[in-house]
Amino acid sequence: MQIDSARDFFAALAARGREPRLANASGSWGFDIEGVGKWTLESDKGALRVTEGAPPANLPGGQATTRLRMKEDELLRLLRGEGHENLQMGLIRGAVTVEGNLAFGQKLQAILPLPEEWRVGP
Amino acid sequence: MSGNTIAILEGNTFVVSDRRGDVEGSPTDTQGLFVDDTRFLSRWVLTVDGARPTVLSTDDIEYFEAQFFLAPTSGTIYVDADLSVMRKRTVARGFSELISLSNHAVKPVDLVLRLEADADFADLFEVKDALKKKGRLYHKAESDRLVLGYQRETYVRETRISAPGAIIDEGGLTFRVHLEGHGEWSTRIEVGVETSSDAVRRGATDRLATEEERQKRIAQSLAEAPQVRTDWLPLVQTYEKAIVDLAALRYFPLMAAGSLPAAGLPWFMAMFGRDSLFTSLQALPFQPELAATTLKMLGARQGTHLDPFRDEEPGKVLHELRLGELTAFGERPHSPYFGSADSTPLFLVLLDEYEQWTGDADLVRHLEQPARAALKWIDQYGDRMNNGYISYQRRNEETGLENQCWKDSWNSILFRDGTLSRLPRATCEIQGYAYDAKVRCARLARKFWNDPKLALRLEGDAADLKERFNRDFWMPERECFALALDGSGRQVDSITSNIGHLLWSGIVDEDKAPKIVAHLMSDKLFSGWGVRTMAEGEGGYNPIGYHVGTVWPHDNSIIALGLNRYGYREESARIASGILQAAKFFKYRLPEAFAGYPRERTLFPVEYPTACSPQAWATGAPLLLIRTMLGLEPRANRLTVDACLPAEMEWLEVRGLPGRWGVMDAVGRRATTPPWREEGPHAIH
Repeated sequence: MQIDSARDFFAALAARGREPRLANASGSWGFDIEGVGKWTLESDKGALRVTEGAPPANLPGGQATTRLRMKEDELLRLLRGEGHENLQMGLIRGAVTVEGNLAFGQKLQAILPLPEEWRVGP
Repeated sequence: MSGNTIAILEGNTFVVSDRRGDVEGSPTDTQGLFVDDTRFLSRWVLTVDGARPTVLSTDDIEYFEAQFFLAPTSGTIYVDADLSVMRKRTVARGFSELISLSNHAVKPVDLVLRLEADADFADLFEVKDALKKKGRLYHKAESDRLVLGYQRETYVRETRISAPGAIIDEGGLTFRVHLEGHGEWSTRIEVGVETSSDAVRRGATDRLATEEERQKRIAQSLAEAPQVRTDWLPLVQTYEKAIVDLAALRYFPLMAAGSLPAAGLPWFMAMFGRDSLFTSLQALPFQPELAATTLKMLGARQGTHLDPFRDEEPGKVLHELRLGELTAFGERPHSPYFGSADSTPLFLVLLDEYEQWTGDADLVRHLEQPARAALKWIDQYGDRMNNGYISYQRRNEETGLENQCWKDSWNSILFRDGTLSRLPRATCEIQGYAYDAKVRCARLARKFWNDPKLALRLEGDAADLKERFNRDFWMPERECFALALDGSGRQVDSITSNIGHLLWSGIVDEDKAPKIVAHLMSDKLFSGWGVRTMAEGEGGYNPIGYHVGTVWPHDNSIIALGLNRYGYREESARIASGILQAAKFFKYRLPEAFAGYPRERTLFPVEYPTACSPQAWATGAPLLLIRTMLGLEPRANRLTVDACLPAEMEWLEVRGLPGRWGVMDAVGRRATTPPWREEGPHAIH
């Protein structure tokens, strides 16, 4: 699977449906990809659901457990693991901002960087 | 820290200055204001009319506050000035400094007070290694504040300095002061830190306590902690210092809920897996909540990938987490770094020990998956040599740690002739931890995870490991366990303190225990203050070598626990006595390590030049030693007490020990004291 954009990434997650590496994660991540769009990724013990735009109404408090904001470039860096990039590094540099449950946010790292078969471009 | 510097701290923020209160940090010196592993102030020098005053006295009142009393140099051998300068500095996130001038003369005087300021924004790793900056440093003199800044891409850090009445320029702050005869003047300077990292900023400000709150916290820590009473007062002072220092080292890691102690000032004001695990274990009878936070945090950050850069492997428990620039740009692997081979089994040991003390079954169930992953790591990735033992060799050859056991300096694992062993290395104590982890997890699997099959397998594996270990690591000619097996399969034959950890783990065959105890208490290992990291007479021995001859209080506290486990109570008490006697010489705050010179030669414990202080697991050592002296053990739902006190104590009492039994008091008296001999030690509900 070729991923060249945030949109590709969320489409790929939606198509995947289940992600064993998120089996320990139940909750949701809100993504605000600056100038591109907003997505919510929900995991119920690894069963995934992706929603584009406003967060789904069923979320507790009407918002994702952890909300992340970043530029699309940074998302792609994270997906590629470019320069050993991970969430912690993005946060320290100020390239990623986070709100909500920080500890849950960290669980996203289980799928980052994406495995080679996902081929993150360009 | 050196006696020529004053350090105050709050979590992972600290200020190290000279005794005048000045900061003159060089590329290789640790003076400065450090926040989140970054030096936000490398120069902070006070002058009066262009001259630096002389120090009269200095006092670190609380862990977060220091006062400096100064007077202008008079030019004679006597300090006979008409002016006093007082600086009172309080660290928070940044610091606040109150400067007061007093004119002792009848005549009015006009003075120029100046504070020169600069910041190099060095990452702590740069200070250690004297590296050059890659971004842009800038100074901005604004109308009401001086901004010292550093930018590299989105990474921005700023120091913002302001004070009412100051004349600001790019190099500092100037005050033109008119003092009437016997007049006084003061100003308060605020030194704040700013960051482009929203998460870092919010985490810090959410958790920032006011001075009043911190005073309350100290009082509360002492009031809420179990009360220690004894006829040997230095123990009470050492204990109370430890409780306050544990509060001082309280650190809130990024992306985590709750606090745990940073490892130690100045180099290790960060989250460390091994240090947090040991400190939590030491503090378990007194502050069990520390263990709960440590376990949750380390479980949440457990390795998920095979990542050579970070030495990360699935199921591995982290070693170190940093927030500085080099980490942010991937020039150091500490985001987090996983280079320790013992934190994973120690995580499992603490999980079981925690449950035995607290009865918190929920946490054991909550951490079942991380625990299973950790067990898998022990057998799979941990076994680098594929010989049934945990061994280590860094995958990150550039910036990874060469030694991934607690003795992590490069030259710690030496043969008897002083030569270096080959990698990978399987150090003995890690095999003990692995054995203990398996035995303990068998209990957890049976009792909480509803998995008797796993329990049986773990018990079988542990028995097999014990048998192999007692065969493969035993050196018949030295009647001791080898320090390690090295990459060529050779026994690393130095005699070291690591063998004491083996007693704690229970891996030592009963018939070998007396020989191990004899080594530990011999003049070669026992200095009179404590057990040396390496025995005198070994090729690599150096009484001021970091891991090859110094005495480490935390090491000794674990050894004392090990001696208890095998029934050597008098020897355990002797170690407790030596370490606690040493604490008196360090103003009741045990340093990370001190020199291994024989006690009878120096009569006082000699400072190790670059030892960290306060340091978490040295702070935890007196707590664990109180446990070993009283023989406190959780058994079923009861706390049992079986005291064996050293000669300086007739009695020792701890009131308010929390646990699965509710709250209990424990009292021990010296068995040799006639009135108590028959009654013996007892516990009071």
